Amino acid sequence: MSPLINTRVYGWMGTILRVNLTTGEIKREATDLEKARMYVGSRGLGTKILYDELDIHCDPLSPENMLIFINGPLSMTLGLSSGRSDVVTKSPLTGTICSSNAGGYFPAAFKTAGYDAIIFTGRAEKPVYLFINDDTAVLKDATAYWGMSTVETDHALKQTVNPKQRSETKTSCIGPAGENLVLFAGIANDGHRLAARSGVGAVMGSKNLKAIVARGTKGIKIAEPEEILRSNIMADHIKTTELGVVFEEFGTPLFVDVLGAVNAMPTQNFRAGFYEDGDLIGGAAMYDRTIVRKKGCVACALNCARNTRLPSDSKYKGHGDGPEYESLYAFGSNLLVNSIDAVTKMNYICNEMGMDSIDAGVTLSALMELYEMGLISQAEIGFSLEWGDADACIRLLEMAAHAEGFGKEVGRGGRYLAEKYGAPQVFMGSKGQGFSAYHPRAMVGQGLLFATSPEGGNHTTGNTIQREINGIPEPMDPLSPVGKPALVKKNQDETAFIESLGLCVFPYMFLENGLEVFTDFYNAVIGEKYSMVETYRMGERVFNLERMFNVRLGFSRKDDSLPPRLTDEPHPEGIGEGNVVPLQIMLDEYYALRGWTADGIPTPEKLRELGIE
Amino acid sequence: MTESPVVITVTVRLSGLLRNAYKTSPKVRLEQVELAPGATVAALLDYYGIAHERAHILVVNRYHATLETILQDNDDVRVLPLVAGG
Repeated sequence: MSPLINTRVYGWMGTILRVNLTTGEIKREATDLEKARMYVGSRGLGTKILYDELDIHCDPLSPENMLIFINGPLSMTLGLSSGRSDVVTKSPLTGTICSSNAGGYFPAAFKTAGYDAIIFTGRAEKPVYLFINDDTAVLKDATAYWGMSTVETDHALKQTVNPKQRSETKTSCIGPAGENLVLFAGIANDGHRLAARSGVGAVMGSKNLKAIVARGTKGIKIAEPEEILRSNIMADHIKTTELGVVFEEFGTPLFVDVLGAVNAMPTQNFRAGFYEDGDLIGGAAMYDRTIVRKKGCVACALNCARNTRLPSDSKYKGHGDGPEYESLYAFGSNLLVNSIDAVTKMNYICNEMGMDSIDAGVTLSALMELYEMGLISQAEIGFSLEWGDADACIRLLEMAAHAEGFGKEVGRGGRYLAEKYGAPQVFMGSKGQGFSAYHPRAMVGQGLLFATSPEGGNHTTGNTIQREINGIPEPMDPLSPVGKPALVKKNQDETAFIESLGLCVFPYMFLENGLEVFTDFYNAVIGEKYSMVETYRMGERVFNLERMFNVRLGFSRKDDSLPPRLTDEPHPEGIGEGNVVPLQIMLDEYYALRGWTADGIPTPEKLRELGIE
Repeated sequence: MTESPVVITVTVRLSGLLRNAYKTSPKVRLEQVELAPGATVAALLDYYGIAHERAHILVVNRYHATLETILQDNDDVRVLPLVAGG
């Protein structure tokens, strides 16, 4: 098979790889640059492909579902934090569209091999992996790797390649959780960096696709290369800002202090926003016990990840990456586990088994509450499950990943368990996806963000922390709904644009003029002269297309919901005491700002205005 | 009659964003500070050399405080700065 001859255009490699796992056929086709112009790339372009081609009513774990690994035009341009890509599919966890974003070095490897996207359909008869080495792309038998952890798979697959090319070869794979169709299974880049959310790993497992191995040596054409240098100067600038310096030094565990101070660190299944033992699981505890060195993605200025190792005096063993702030909440405050060693161990299990730590934690906290309520018994679980029992949680995570005993039930997620045992209100999520580490009663804009995210309780679609907590560019009362619908809309639309470029959202969040900086960067790479109004509109278009995907499936205002704990139960003592999330008031204003009906449906006029057919 | 304490001791957590203000090490997030009775939050910021206008959120015993809030023995103080985003 000869590679498609395609005149590469600025930012894009010009070729998409299509892999039919049922037939084994691999085809190349030209990247549709008109769609790319309209939907930017990565998350946006992947959604457009899915929207146009998928039978959206398909079972997400059936061969009919499509699994799209996709880069953006700025991915791997060596500009500011350009090492990210998305996995786009129909989520088995939420039943909605989803884009799960991850970094590391794998996105750069498949782009420089010459591919803007890899689209999988069908289901292989036996486990396979896709091997890519520049123009070579073949499916290989993965039976020997089935059952291996993500770290083991990454290592083993790299041993199969020419030793001279080993260091340039990168992987993306599932662990046992994806193989066993755990609904919150993720896909690990380089063994550690997970496209964690929405169950994308289960879709990969349902296709009997264990991994992608990629090596690329091709360059990326950039219209104005000297502008990339300017982008790197901007990276240096971010590193010197106060937030940049501290972020580089402390990483995301910094937020344990910040969110704890303002009563917004979710605790004990969101009953509270403050964890008495927060100091025992925060950044300082990590410094004391686990941190080995800082790590970053390709082309990153911030190095927010942390390589860690459990010390010799710990009852737990292991080494790896993290935990990030989200995992410190999910396995720490959320479960009342006050040991950084135990939280770190749970995070390692999630990375190695290929599971989302946020939904794993939210599922466990729902289970603990069900157990406390007497709705689920020790006999059903196999052991007791009291708040703070780290060892029970560790057992359940391993059982879930391997689909053993009650673990099979755990692997179906928190919403399923809460409904099955008669208390749906104890699931702390929206659209079936668990909430990230920001308590909406103490920052109500984040509540609106969670409720309206296309894929449920996910903070990455437009985190409000900079305005509501950090006061960038100016402070905003986190307890008040005033101005929040406009804030959430702006963040969602701008983030949709930034992510679709193939960039990390952190630098955008750190800059007061993020959209302007990245509009300039986009123009420099692809050789256009888009205004900020136009690039904002691109993000809005992506967000509305995601909404329409869900609307076609029957989603509407009724699904833009939060659990009654957030809307009816008052916040306990501390800042925001007595506060609840005034969701319906915010939704009315939000829908009006978006040009949607009162039921949350984009109007035909709005869709025409955005060029969505 | 109980005598007034000669000093009061408060527990202070500065957000990592105020790393340069730490008297000891940025790795240490929790410090005990001794102040004169009647000392305010402003006096505590002065102890650390933190400009008052940088104090974006002040929290004493889990509730919002102001620069004028008078600190008591065993108070828990958390300070979040107004950060410069770039």
